[in-house]
Amino acid sequence: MELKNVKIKGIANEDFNDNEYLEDYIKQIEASGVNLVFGKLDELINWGRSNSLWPLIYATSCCGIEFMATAAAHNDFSRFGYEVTRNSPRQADMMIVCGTLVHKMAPLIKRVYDQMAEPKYVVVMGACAISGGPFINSYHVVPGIDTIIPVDVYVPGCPPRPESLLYGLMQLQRKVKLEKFLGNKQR
Amino acid sequence: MDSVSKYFSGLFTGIGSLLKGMSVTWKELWTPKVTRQYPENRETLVVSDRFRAELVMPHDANNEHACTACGICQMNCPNGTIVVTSQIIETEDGKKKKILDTHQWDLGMCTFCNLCVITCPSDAIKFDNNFENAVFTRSKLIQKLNAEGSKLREKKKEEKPTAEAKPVIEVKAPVADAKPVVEKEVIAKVKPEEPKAEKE
Amino acid sequence: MEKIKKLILDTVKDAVIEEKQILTVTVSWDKLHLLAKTLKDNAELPFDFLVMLTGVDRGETLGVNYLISSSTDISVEVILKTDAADRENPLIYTVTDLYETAHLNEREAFALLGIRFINNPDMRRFFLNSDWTGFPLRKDYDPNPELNPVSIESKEIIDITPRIMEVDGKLVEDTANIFEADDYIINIGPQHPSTHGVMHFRTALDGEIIKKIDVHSGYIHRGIEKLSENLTYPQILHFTDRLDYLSANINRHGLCMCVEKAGEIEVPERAQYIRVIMDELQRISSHLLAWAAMTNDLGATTAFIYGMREREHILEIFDKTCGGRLIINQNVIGGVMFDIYNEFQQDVKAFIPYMREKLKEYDRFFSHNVIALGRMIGIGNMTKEETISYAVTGPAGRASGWSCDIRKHQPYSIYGQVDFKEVIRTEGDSYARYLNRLDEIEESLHIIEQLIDNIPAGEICAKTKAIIKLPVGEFYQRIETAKGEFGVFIESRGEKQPWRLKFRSPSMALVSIMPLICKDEKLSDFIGIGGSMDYVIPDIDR
Repeated sequence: MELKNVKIKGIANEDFNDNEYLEDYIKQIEASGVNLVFGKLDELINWGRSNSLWPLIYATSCCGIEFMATAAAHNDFSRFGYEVTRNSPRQADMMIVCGTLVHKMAPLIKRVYDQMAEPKYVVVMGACAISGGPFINSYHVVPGIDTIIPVDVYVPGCPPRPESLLYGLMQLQRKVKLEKFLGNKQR
Repeated sequence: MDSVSKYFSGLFTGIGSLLKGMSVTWKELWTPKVTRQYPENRETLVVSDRFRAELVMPHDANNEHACTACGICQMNCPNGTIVVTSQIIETEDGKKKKILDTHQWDLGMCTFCNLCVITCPSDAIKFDNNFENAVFTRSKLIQKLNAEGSKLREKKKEEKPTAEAKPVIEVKAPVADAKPVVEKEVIAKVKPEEPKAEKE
Repeated sequence: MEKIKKLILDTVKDAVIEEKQILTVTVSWDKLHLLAKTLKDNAELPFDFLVMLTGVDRGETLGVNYLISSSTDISVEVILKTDAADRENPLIYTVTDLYETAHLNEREAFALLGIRFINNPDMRRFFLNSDWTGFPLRKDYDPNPELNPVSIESKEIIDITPRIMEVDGKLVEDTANIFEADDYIINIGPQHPSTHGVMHFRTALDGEIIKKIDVHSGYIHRGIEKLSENLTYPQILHFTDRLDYLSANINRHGLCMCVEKAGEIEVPERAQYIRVIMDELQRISSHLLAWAAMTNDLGATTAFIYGMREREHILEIFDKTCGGRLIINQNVIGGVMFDIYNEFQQDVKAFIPYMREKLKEYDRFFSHNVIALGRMIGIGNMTKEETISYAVTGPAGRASGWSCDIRKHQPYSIYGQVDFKEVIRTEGDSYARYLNRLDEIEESLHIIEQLIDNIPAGEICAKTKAIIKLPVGEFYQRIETAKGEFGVFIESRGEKQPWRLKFRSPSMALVSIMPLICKDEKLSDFIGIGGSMDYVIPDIDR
């Protein structure tokens, strides 16, 4: 799979941020060789997978409301197949962390993450989840979700507008499309 | 008999209320769609030009910016998103001058409170509405705002002679045009005291 | 007021009365309960509304400030101040038996300042884990992260509370169980889609009937009050937007007014108009979201989509005015940050008839739906007395017949000049709260209509000093947000940072009454009642 074959409707590949990461990612995946038969089958599976990413909403504060706005009529993320928001981590493909994470909540996010089935992805939304944001100097705030669980996509903003979140979710789609489901395992 | 009629009247008012509600949804079926088709409408999408999505430092055609490295934005930032590093150089006429080394801003930490922009005495930074910033790597969110090889825009010539042999603070005072002189003095006075307080 | 002063001196002879902006009374820690009780039982003007309970580290001593008011006239205010005798083991008598709302507030003061309250039946730490080292709001708190590292080990929840009781004139420390031994307990939250945030309700059930609810909070406690003590006033402003993010602009207005009052800064009239219009738009957007979320809780997903759709129109106006949709950063000390854009009036005027049309639609669509009525009428009843004791304000308080709108009783900004009705219902159930919100949207539209064409020309922000320092003193400001009464308390020692800053959160009162009104209701109705209360958790935890 090459990066130029990953297509997202509406935005050209070179217009996306951080393509270097995906190039590296492809190299990592392809280090173990490419299987032609499974390769094609993978593309089919990934097409389905990337267009039906079911999110688990881990909304703690303000960004959760912008997430709701993304879900509602004006932005309607069911156009991308994200609308099946799961409340059980076992049914979800990705976790969208919207909001500040504090000490008391840290064990819970770890537990919820562990309950999710592979392959799983984490999208962090907003400054608080990325780094602690406005509350980075606080005694009770965890400075970034990535200190606890691995993160796939960072969506900056405070809070990011719905289009910004959609853009982040499209970034995740691109990553999913590159992966191999059969043949070899990368995660 | 009474309970039977009660049952049926309850049933029919219930169904009636449901139908009434459904008439609203039915009507909704024929109203124009409100969904904005991002990303298909990316070319035509209008985002309010006041929307704050990223901090930028405008550079002109000569790759010059207006930042004097005074550090007021860094001081005003509530959570340390901005780090301004400067260096002292010697100009041709032997005078010491502080110039901007890097203006580093962390998009992943910024709260978009706008304090840095409204307090900037030289209007060197502003917020842009480009919201497409999602990345895979955290370090990509830490941005250097001044372009490679850029330098401070020179002041107008007629101010040069008076500014000579004066401390650095005076040099940048004339930049802001709209603000009254008194306010500038206050800012200038405060500056030396502030970084000390921060270190404590 | 003279009568009140006489009453206070008759009750406690050595009380120190100071005539400040608000009558301030300082008493010793063992007399406070007596004084509060006398004031509450005062027949003529009962002080039965505890607005704010603030624990303060005064340097040498730890103390508590009580701002009390009367339910018959909420503009009357008295401050009671007391200090614990011993900093090492600070003890103060509880007022929970007089004001139920004190319960959670005292637990908060214990968690953050270590002040223990004698006779409070439940003295667990409220926001923090019970093994937290140190008391964050004390001035000598050690912020070293190694003392309190981030742990990802799940902790057992302990349902045993320590407490300190007075038995026959002696203080006895003992423990009590929150639940009975054979109670069937389920956890609702903290990561639950219907708790409107990260609230944790430990619920004891009898079949599907709720027996008891124990509220756990602090899953989004961000330590805003401590952070503020190290920031200048303009820097603190951005936290208020993130408290109750649905009333972001109104909260910020409250803090700005408090600083302006203390610093004697005159706000230009144009800024006042813009502030009030934005506040009312914010109130509409908050009520719309509350409506949408509540209908969603009751199973009407379509209604949720409708509410969010209308809300988007307001967000667009915000976006164009101040460059933010949810967190809008509009108010600054002395005025507003951004002037209105050219088509602002046109956009708002187009929105008013549109919203009125939609309100009729909501009415047809949901307000008389047989299923909705069955799940709202007679569910989650609260009486006026309970409402006052738990200090539940806002649309929920007014649904129980308590006239508690600060905009009417203590008009701030330009609310004195506009004509609007305070929406009051007396049923006190979920349906009354639901209808109150829809009616308040109509009233807000009415306010905006009066102002939108009359925005005066002029400055949008008063000239302020580059560094704002407040004079020494204690300053209170109360303001009506979409959820209820929001309060700001600033204790200034003449610095550019506050010595102590406290926000009165309207949502905390809304949650504190949940155990009472959900008792003996069905578990499924708990979600609906929660929706009708419309609390925002980050506002509670701060």
